[in-house]
Amino acid sequence: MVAFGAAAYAAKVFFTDPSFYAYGPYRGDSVAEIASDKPLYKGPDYCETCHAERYAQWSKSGHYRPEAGKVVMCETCHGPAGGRDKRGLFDHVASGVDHPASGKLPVPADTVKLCSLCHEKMPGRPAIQRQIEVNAHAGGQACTVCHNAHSPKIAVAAVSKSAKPGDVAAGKQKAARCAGCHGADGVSGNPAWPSLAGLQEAYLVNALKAYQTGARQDPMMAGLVKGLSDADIEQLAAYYAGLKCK
Amino acid sequence: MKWKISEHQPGRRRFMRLLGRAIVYAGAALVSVGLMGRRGLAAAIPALSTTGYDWTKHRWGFGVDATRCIGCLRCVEACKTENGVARDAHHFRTWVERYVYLKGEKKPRVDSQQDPGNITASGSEKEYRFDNRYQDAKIEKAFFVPKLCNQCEHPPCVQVCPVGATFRTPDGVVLIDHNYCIGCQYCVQACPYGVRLFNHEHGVTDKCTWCYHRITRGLKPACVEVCPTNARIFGDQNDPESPISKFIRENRTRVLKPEMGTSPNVFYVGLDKEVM
Repeated sequence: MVAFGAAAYAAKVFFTDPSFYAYGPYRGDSVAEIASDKPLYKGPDYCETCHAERYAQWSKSGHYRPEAGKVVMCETCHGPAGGRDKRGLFDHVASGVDHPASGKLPVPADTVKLCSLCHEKMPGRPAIQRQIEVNAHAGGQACTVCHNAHSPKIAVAAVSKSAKPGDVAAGKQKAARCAGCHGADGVSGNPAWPSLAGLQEAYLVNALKAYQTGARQDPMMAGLVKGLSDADIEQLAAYYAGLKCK
Repeated sequence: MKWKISEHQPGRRRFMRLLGRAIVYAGAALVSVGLMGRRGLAAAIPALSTTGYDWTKHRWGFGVDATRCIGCLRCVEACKTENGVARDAHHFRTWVERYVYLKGEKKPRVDSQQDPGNITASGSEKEYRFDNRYQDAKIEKAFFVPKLCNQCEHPPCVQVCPVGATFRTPDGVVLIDHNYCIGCQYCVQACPYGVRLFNHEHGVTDKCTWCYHRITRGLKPACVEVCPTNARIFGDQNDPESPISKFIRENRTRVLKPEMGTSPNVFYVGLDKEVM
């Protein structure tokens, strides 16, 4: 009997992890193992160190108003900045390479698909959430043609702030070649071409830049905006925004 | 001590003597094991002490505001990435349900991101989005409900584990030791909320840990970090100024299936009674 007891005890010692029962009926070391995993999502402060300009835009935008419960973080759209090495079965991994060393974070290509995850009009979404009928809203155009994802509200886009007092006069001179289609005072006489008078300044800037980058496509406009500098665009926008649509 | 027992002792007395000794030694061993256990509970986890984390000082809690959830499923994506959950339509540590009451119907229609229609809308089983199947329907009421492990005060899943592979930590999180789990799935059946999942790749059970590796470093769980509408709230219930303490104080909250006696630690706002 003593021999059996000794054998049983030896077996228990041999087969039971030393940390079992350290805190309770489980392997105590497993807690530290589970906690050793490297976190992937790093939060917006991590992004700010390099992308201060974007961060400043975003932190003042409608995508970040904590008091209103709007907290669209960088990693909500771009994915996690952290990286974790892959290892074998059940290994908890504490190492890994983070962005930027690990490479570029994916910039979501299909903005309609991405933005509509939250902004598609759908029963069940609370009324405070801004929602659009995706196809009726912009006919499938990329959202970034008009909106800046980091500061989505068009009227308050930060770009218009750089407009100087002389811009309107300078813009009027440069608007001469726009007048052929869009009308002398920005009021178009042909239904094929839109009037520009009185449009939001930031919208005009966004639209012209979108033609430059190719995000918005039109064979006529593409040629006309080619030679425009950022200053030219701002002056034109300031001029047309100041006109009244009769 | 002299162990030699004289030859002329009767067998029965000899046996009783041995038995007495055995009982004394066994008792002493049990007491010492018990003391060791108690000492361990009072101390911080030694291996985590480098990060300054003391699990006796926290009592984590989670809040879900269903009136804010927009069903964007960024939480589900983030959870899968952060915790390496299989990228398919069958394994989820957290998920979102959609409840829709059509006009004239008494019971809600419920679907989740793994519904075939929603998989078609997302384009693959690796991405998650709700389709817009009710856009033209006459709707009485509709809302989204995020679900995750309730980290119960009295977890039935821990009770049924035959090998001590799952346990509740003093800071209030139910964890799984994947090295000890034998994959019997008793716990999957015991959970009244269906939050435990079986990892078919590794043959072990898996579950939401409130991102234990993040919260022990002072970070929020991944799903809370990426939620764009603050529908998920996380914090320390011991700290009266933490988001979760405020959430519980300022709202009429309820837990899921209180009749099960599990004392969940996920507090919901804005649910109908149909939500289980």
